[in-house]
Amino acid sequence: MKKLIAMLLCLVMVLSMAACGGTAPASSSEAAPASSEEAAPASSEEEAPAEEGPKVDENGLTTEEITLQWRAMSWTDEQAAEMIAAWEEVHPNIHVVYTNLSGSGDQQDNLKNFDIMLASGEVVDITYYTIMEEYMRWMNDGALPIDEYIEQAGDDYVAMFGEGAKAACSFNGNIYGIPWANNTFKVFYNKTLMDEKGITIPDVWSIEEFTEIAQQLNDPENGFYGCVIPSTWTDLPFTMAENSGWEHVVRDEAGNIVPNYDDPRFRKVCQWLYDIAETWEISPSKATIQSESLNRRAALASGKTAMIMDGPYTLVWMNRYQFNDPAEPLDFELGVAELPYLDEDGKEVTFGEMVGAWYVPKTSAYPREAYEFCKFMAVEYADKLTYMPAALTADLEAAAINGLDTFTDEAGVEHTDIYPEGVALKAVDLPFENFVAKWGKDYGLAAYYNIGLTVLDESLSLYLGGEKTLDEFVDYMNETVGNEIKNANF
Amino acid sequence: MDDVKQNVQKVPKRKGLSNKGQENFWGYVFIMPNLIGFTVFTLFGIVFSLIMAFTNWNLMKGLDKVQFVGLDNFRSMIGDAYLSASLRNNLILLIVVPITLFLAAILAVVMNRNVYWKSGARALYFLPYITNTVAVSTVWQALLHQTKGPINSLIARIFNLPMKQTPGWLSSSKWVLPALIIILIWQALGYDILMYSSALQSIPADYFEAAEIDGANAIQRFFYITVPLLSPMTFLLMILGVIGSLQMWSFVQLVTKGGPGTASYTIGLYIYRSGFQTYRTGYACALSWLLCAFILVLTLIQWNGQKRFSID
Repeated sequence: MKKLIAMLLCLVMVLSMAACGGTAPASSSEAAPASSEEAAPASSEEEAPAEEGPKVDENGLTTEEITLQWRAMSWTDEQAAEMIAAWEEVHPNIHVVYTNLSGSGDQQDNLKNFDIMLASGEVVDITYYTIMEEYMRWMNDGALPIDEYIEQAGDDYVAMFGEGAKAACSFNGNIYGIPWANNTFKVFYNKTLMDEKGITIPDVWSIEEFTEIAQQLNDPENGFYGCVIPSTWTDLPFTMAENSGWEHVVRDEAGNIVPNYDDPRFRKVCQWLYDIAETWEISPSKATIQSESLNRRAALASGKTAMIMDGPYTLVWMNRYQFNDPAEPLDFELGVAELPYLDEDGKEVTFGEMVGAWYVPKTSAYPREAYEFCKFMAVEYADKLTYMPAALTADLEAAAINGLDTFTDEAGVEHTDIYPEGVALKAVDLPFENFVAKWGKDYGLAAYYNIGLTVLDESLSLYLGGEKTLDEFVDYMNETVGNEIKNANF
Repeated sequence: MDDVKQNVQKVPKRKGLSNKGQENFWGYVFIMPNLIGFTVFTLFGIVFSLIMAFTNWNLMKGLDKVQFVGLDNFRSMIGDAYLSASLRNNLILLIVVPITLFLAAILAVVMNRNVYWKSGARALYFLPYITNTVAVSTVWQALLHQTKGPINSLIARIFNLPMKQTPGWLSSSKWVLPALIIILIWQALGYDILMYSSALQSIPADYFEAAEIDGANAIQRFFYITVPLLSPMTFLLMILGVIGSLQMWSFVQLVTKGGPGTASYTIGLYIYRSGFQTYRTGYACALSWLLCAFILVLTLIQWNGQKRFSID
């Protein structure tokens, strides 16, 4: 009996391991599988009679029943179900299954899980991430170039998304991404308070003017700050330097990629961040914000600060504070102003950048169909779910009103016209020349920007906490990022 | 007698395995489930990572793009600022082990006597060991907050300091390691007390009685009986503590993410960063082997010490 049990245990073990094994993805729509509701079309070559060839329509899309695997972490299951329903109305034979990867809540952790999924060959047809994260994956062969599918579909990519978006979604001469959403940064402020104090924020203002207004309104003894700097979004204040032409890394005269922290624009933002917390005390320090988990948007909503720098999504958060349980109505009027400029070079320059794109991972079984789904979402559907769609054909005004000025609360009640006229549109407005166009941002360096940003995020508190002087911090950044660039395995 | 001989001759020779062979065969069958698991999930991983330590493996690019790079990964370790910071931090954090052992030995001896509410105290000390790391890190972040944390409020009151001059703890590169050391001691103390308590139970009471009759006082009994007889447990806890400390990753990831700067980076955290964030997976394998060698050397030193000093 014991011997039998031992043999059975061995058998179970072997079978378990066999079941754990992955399956190699089929090569693409050229080997479209036979009818199947199941997701993984791994053995499609056996299922589809090879002599008949793939059954495709005039656009190269399969006419058979297939299921695409969509993995991302930006949408709830309910949102995804709506998006899929809209897609399946047009393509009833191409089903989509959405898996929400936002499991642990930690984006780096979720991205690691996604990378392991791809590295182990799991079939994923569609995904979406922020542009910097996906650029890392494009550069490291984690995605399929989509040029071939754009051509098959007869699409004019530049007409759909523009030259800038094409540059941002390309690597080594191939296009990888389908742009979904843009983002910008603004100053959101307590307009009622400003009016009471007789302060008017100019359309174009400098960082010095911003500081002066924050100083006028500052009252830390009563727990009120002139402004609250973003601490969880380290790059945000440095966008002012980017508007003036600064970048984390640059190419030197010999074409080498080198760190660029000994730059007056970078230094000026660092110094300003230090001064507003430690010298002028018009903002809580980064350490205080982090250790208290002080939410800048919540601080604005609850009347603890006059101004914050942030993206348009701030309005969605304000809606949540106002309408969800426990509801806390804003007892002031909200205003939106442009991000202040750092120096003359950054005057009348707008920070507006593609924030994320769809792409087809390297393990896709149906890349042609996956591209079509991504394009459908980016072009046909974007203005229904994002407040700043990247597609040139999208109704930008409708998207902003729908995304920012309309809100359905947890009780299912829809609120419309929440903000005074123009606030939602001002939050997404790009009034001046875009910094990418003005300074010719080199997207070929995106992965290196990412390295710089990671190190900056890890290290900024060394300077802001007074551990290093600005000179020491600049040297530290140049040395550390320089080493990281040298060691990079792209 | 002849009948017996005839009967013996009639017994047919067994075909196949001998008794010994059969015993071995079934022995292997019994351990096969575990052996398969060990081979696939452990041995394969060890051998695979050793091979990959000599390649430029990039997790995202996949195994088909792997190239043999010889000792390049190991050469890259020289002058790697993150690695040297991680090694230095790991070595500093090792101080947790002797401090915890010392405190645990004293507390275990005290609690081994007829003290009031000793099982409750033991449970309280053990609680941090079994508490969820995320909860522990959140609570300590609040406790160690520079301007609003109760610890700094106490320090400010005792030393009459303004809050800004109190230690920055987790947000300061000078104080982050002391802060981690305090938390780690607090967390590990309960386990060591428990282990010491069980070891103390096995020391015969006769030894103490005989020593007492011979005129040894409590301190002499502690140093000449308790400490030597606890030495096997001390070495076990020391080895486990050193290995655990060197492998530390999740706690640092949760509490400080290695910062500020690289002030609290550990080798474990750097391996994770190299393997999964910068895709230097081959380099991460080489770092893992460096960590393995480091642990091996320290364990051998302790093992040697155990042979020399411990009393069985």
